[in-house]
Amino acid sequence: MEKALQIVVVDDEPIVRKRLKPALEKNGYEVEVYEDGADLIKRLKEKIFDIVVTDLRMDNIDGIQVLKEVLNQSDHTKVIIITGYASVEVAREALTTGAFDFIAKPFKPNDLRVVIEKAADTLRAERAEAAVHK
Amino acid sequence: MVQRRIMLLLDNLVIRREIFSYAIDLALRMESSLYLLVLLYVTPKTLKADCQEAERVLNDFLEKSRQQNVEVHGTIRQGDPASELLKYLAESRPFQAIIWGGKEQLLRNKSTPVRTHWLEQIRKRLECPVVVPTLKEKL
Repeated sequence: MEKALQIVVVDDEPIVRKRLKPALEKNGYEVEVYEDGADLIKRLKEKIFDIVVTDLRMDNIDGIQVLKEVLNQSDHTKVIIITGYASVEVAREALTTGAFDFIAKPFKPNDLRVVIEKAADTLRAERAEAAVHK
Repeated sequence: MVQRRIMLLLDNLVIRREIFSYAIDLALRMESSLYLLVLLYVTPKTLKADCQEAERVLNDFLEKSRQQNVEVHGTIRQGDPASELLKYLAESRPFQAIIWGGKEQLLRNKSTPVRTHWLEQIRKRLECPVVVPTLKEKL
């Protein structure tokens, strides 16, 4: 049986963490949530996640910094940026820095589910290709 | 010479008659190329028929534009419309204008942030004007 994908969500809005964790767990993912980007970065030293969902604007560390930290640690991890301050400039920065995808708030849990499924499909395809080349 | 670019943005497959001809006329007047972006909002109930209808709309527009000798390109993107539009713009060279195919009244409802149309929510943060063509009312 395929191992459940490991997802971490970091967002300083409690409502986002409260809604996303059960919604994603219901879809079979293992989910951790953090309020502060700094706490996530500490956690990243212990564990590699498959998918990181991060808010862009947070008090201590912003989503772009989280993205850079994640990509430093693992170039396989897919990072999805969510933001209530969505603009073309922000989308450009997120995508050129290496984000897998970008979602403007407000969004419905289904919108994120669709993007996470896309990331999960990409991860599976990359792993299958890596297995062939081993 | 830098080619001017106009986007025709559709987030609804019920197309108003005047939209295509307005977009083509504007492209001819501004000597621009046209980019049709069809945004399909994905829900658990999104049907294959919706995707086929989007393809039909896109091909119809491409054909009409080419008949008028307008350079035209078309894309269908699925997902949250605000996010998809912003990503499309982030990946593209700048547009001179975006023509939106929806009804102007939809952009006017700003009673609550949740009820505000997705395009109105991000309109001020786009890097070009949004044009909403309307037919003249009969006197």
